[in-house]
Amino acid sequence: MPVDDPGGVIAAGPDRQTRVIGGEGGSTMSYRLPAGLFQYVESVYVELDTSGASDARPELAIATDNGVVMARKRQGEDVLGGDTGSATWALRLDDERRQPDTALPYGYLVYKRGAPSTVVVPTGAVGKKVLFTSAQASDGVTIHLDGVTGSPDGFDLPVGLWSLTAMAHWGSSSPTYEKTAFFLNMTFVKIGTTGTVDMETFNVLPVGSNGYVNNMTAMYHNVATFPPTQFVGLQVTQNSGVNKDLFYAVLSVVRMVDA
Amino acid sequence: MATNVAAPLPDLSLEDEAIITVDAGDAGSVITSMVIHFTQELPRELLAPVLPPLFGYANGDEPPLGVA
Repeated sequence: MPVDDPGGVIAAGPDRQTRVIGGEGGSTMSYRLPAGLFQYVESVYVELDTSGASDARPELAIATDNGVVMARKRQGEDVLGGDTGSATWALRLDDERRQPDTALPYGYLVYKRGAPSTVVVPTGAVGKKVLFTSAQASDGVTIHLDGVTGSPDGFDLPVGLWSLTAMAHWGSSSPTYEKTAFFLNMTFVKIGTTGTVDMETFNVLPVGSNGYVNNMTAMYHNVATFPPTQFVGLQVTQNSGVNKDLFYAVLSVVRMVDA
Repeated sequence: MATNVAAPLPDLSLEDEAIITVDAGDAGSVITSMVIHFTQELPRELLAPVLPPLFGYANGDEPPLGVA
């Protein structure tokens, strides 16, 4: 970037419609439009050094000569920390943050059987939905969507407010077991660097010993703010000795607001 | 890898000496440069002396009363 105004001293730019201003080593920077002219700003572009910083979300403010702010516009995505980047504000651009702020329908699905690695949820992207699912067909099994005793499989959530939904479904395809009590343990866990903490535990969910139920679904929904380096997962256990066929569980996380 | 982000700019005509400020959003970030692209227009009262007379009136004068 050829800087024709090092140190923030304003002078003519590469062309008469452009001002290129050198930074002054700070995290904020201002430019005062020249006097005596009608102005129509078409773009503002900054380059950032975030090598010593966390993720940064630049914001533009436009104020009158006496400091009255008339507009603010924050970027929709972070410039990641530990690197460099740029932020542009320009007329007629689409906002990058166009995903819905609700759970549907934006997202992607991760299918899990066995013990997958941790799924790292990207930063940013309000409304991003991530699903974690697993299926089993045998009796008395446990679905681990987290590594309770081992590596912290599950979602590695960046700091921020997340909507978490856990769902498990089970049933029997045989009339023989229609009156069988189905028991399911759903444990919603938060795993930090020092161990496992039960964030919310679904106690045994009895259908009832005389229940005429072939299928049942249990769902839990929570909105919580997570600090950095937290993993969430879902553990679902069928009690042994009870014949069950269809059995699967889904954990989804949706980012609700900006960090 | 550098992260480049973009967003729409508020579409405003600005008074002279308006102030454009960018806050990087993290105190540890350093803004290394800023580029502003804009169009400028001279106010009419400054242009009037150098513009050719329009409909016979010069210097930005208002037409006399009764003259369309």
